[in-house]
Amino acid sequence: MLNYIMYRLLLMIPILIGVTLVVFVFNQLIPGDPVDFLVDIDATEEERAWVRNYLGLDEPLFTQYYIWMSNLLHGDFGVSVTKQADVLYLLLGALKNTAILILVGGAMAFLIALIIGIFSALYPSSIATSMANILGISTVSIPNFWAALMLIGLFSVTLGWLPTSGMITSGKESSTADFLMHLVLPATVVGLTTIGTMTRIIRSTFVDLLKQDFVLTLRAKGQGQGNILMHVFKNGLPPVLVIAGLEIGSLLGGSVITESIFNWPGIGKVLYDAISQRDYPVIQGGILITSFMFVTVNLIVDVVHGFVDPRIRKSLKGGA
Amino acid sequence: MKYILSKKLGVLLIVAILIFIVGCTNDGGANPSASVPEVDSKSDTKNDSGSDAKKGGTLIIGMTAAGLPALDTHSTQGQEGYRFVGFQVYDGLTRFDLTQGEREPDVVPALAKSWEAPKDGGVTWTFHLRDDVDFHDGTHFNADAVIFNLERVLNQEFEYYSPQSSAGVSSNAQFIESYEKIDEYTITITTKEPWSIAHVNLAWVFMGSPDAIKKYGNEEYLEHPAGTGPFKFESKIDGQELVLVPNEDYYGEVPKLDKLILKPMPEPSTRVAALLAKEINWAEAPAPDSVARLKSDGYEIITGVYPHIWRAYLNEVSEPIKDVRVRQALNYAIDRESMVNDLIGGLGTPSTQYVYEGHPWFNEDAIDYSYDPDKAKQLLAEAGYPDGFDTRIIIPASGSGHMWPIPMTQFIQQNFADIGVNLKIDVVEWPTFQQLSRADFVDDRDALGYAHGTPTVTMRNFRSTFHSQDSGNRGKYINPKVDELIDQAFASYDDDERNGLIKEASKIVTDEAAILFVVHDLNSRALATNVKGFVQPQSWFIDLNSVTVE
Repeated sequence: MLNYIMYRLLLMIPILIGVTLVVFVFNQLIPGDPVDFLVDIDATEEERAWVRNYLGLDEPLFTQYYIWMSNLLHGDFGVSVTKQADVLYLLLGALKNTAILILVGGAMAFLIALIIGIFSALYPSSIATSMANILGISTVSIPNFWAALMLIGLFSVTLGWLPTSGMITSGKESSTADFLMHLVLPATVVGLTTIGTMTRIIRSTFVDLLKQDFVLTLRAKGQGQGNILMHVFKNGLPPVLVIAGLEIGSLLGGSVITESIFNWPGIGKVLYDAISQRDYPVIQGGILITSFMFVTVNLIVDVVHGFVDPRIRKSLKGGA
Repeated sequence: MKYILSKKLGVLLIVAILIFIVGCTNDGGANPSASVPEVDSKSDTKNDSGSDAKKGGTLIIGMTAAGLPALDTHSTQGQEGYRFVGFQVYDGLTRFDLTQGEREPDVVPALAKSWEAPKDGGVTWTFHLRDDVDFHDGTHFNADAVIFNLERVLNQEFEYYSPQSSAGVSSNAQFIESYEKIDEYTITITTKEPWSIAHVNLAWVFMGSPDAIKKYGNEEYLEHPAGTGPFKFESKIDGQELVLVPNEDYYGEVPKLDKLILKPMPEPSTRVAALLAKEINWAEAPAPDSVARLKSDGYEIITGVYPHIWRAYLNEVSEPIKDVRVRQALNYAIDRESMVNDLIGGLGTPSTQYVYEGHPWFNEDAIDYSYDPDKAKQLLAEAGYPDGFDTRIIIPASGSGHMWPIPMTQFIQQNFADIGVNLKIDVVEWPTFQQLSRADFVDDRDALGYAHGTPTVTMRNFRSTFHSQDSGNRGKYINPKVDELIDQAFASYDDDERNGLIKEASKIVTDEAAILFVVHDLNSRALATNVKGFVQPQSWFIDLNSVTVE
């Protein structure tokens, strides 16, 4: 197991180096120029050339990459072109906000999916199950930006229960309650798609398990529904947890639009703004950090999977 | 053994994750910000009920900016940053008088109480500075402070030279050749060539406290800005809000508000929703389709002309466009009235010249491009295109000041189809747009041009659009007479004479249909009914000193 973790950790190095290369090259391929966001639209070519030189954008590509990488290895992610702030500082602040959003949104979605999924596996032909299926399909099919606008319209504008956007109420003392109120809508929207996908996976996993021989045996022995469910649950959880872990990636992706609509200062919004302003250091740093998170989450999921499922653990025992 | 070890490791991992989660949530709840701890934004926040101190209330503005403008002596986030942050926190030597909406704002004294323009072909301006001004950090403003700030943006050898600030103010400071301190409260500025609008450009060149910049350095200064403007910095939460409070020692009219809170809200729907939910009391640029709803709910929609034009540069070197009759035909073909009334809900006004009617440069004798498709067809036939032609236009998808490019261009497309001109629309993202438009029309000889919105505040904007020697003249419009008039205007230090010259040039460029005139933006904003005392000036910029919130 330890060997395996070591192996996976080492494997992260070439993956992340690959990411830096891809991000760097693609940054150069998109048309546009960060200089445009620093100088006036009427600026002369000389003014633009001077700023390019200051930003080091007139160096050969290889040199630019080399400078960026050597700074990275010293923990220096550079300075944002448009925000004039340290990139790592910007990104870590944003990452914290995104983490709150997707962990709360994901956890809520996972719980709802677990309840709906297991229920519909147990009672496949009830009306409640059909309703749950419709809900599941809707959450996957509804575009989350649309859902976001509808929820704002209903809960914020019409009913006035929840704030429309942001993390704080301007002009009021900030409090945890106020913050949680701001969290409800964006977290719901972020988790929406996950409800649908997770429900399907949980249901099919549990449907399969309920058909297994051990369930039949338990039934034959006269065990009650609750006891049977405990056994099924124990067997069904590992694969479901793995998928749930991998869902973090899609939650992260879905947060980009959600954060923009709800003005939530997370990493998705920071990246979105950086891309539309061609803020190269922020784009590069942001994607690198997001990739790092993704790879790390995958590693954790695999390790936890091994931990809860003895079969996997056994197969890993000999190392990689 | 191995098994136990890995089990322990697993437990450790899970505990670590839990700590991470709990840490995040707790921290986030207590202080949901990415800002530096020392800002300590909430500790001394007064209650919003306004029971203490003044009773001007708290004005909360939803800006169109994507983020908080930097608090340096230049503003980021485009001219929106200058509107709400730059011009509120800082002063230049001069400023625009934004307290009236009757006419174009005058340039009035700010940190300079008076100035003398050059005489007899000279190029040296003398500015007499105020002697009663302190920066927000308490240090005194004088000629040394002006020299320090000019050095900071113009002298690359200067210890506190800021490349960002330099880039930010370049277009308003590049005319400066040299500057000199004469005495404690007098300076001179020498221009590279005759530049009769130096005093206008200097309104954008802000003065920050030299002591604060020296003390904190160029980067840290952004967290401790000290200008001389009517508002001063109190606190900020990145991506969420910037809080400004009145500068009680302001030498002009001290703002009546208790507090000014600026929130970046780039999504129009977010701004409108926040306004309807009473989280903000001022929303910039509501979308046209939300105007009816806002009005019926009692919100005040404020509009007013100001120097801005949404137009298309026409590619004057390409085959059909280079014929003046074709360009005139295109200008006659657009039904501007129904575009502004039916499409954009009255948030713009028809443009038949570079400036709006009533502006000093508007020329009544020029051709009036009213909607006349028959005349357009006739002109096209005269030019040898009785069946029209195919062409292409490039527009940005969206962006500050560009209004609603896609529906507006589609509207033009239909108008053009009526006279046989088949217009293809290429929508690109703003950075791509800028890159393409800078490349002139190298690869696209068939292109009609580029359409987007820009402010037309100073004579420099006029020059950059129509002067053959200006790199901003994307359409390659060339007329020696226009060049001459513009050059004369830049050498004329008399306001009326200068405006007269540009007005004369304006007739020529209008008659020759140098660009496709479409609409002038109306600077729309929606205000809650309890916001009082705001005067919409004929400017992109605004004065908030007289505003109160009941």
